[in-house]
Amino acid sequence: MNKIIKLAIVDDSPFFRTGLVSHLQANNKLQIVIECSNGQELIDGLKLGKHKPDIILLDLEMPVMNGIKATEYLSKYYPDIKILILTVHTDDKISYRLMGKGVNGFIPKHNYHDNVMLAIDTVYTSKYYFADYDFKKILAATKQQKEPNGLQEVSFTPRELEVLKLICLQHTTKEIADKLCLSKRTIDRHRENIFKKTGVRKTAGLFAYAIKYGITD
Amino acid sequence: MQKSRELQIIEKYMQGNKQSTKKLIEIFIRQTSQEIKDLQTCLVNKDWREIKEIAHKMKSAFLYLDMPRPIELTEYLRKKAGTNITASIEHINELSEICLQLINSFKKELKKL
Repeated sequence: MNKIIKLAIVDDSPFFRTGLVSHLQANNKLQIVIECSNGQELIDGLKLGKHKPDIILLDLEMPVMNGIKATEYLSKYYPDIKILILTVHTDDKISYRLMGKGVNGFIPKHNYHDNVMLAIDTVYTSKYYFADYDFKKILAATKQQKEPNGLQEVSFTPRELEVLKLICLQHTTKEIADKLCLSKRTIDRHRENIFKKTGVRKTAGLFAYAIKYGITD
Repeated sequence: MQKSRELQIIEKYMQGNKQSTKKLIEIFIRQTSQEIKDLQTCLVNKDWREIKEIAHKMKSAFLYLDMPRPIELTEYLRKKAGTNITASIEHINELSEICLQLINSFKKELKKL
């Protein structure tokens, strides 16, 4: 990968944030374009429009505006920016809620050095990164909950279901089209219908939906 | 004097960059000193909500430095500060003591960097 990846780092602990920034700055593939201590500062930085990050590394618990609220805002106004959550939590329910809101992955703070570069590379190339997260546990947690984030079970056509499964396996539109012997345009239409039916805005939301209803089983 | 484990961790993550190492230690000393003061003030005021927030912020630093006991103490305070007042006070005092020791150790090490 030759392109420089632009990052925003958002964490209210100056020590942790500076440590992370110094660590990442040593890598010449990366450029830190925004460094701030809460969600509101991040949004203010984005609104200035000077620099738009490709990926935001976002803490969850912060004053003024926390990571959950910031994720909701970003999902609505900057859906193309990818979000990696920096977290001290290993609470599956929180992870699940955030997946439904469109995050692309999680980096546990306790061993971020081992994960952060892989997470950035993985997420940058259109995928998801969930280090140390046991999705069987998340699924079990979600089955005990009733509509924790407003996702409703809907009925899909057999073709939509096939497309949804392949999206969750991280296939591109072209790959799905080739696999199902259909045109890219048809796949785009199915994708659009799936988004409409589920009411989610980003692919990460579809992933959450599929896990919740056992579509990936 | 042998380098502390925490200094070794910072040096490793800063990949031998002395300036970055010094800067990070200075930030730790400044941030943690203030957080200990704030914890004590909140304890006097019985502001458990603020104590939970401070503990959360402190936990990030201890995760970075891979310090199991302060991680336990901050985790307790983050979740349960105020539910058992005696235990909360004990946890804050132990945490403050560990932090002060580490700050002193970092101050000495900073002079040698």
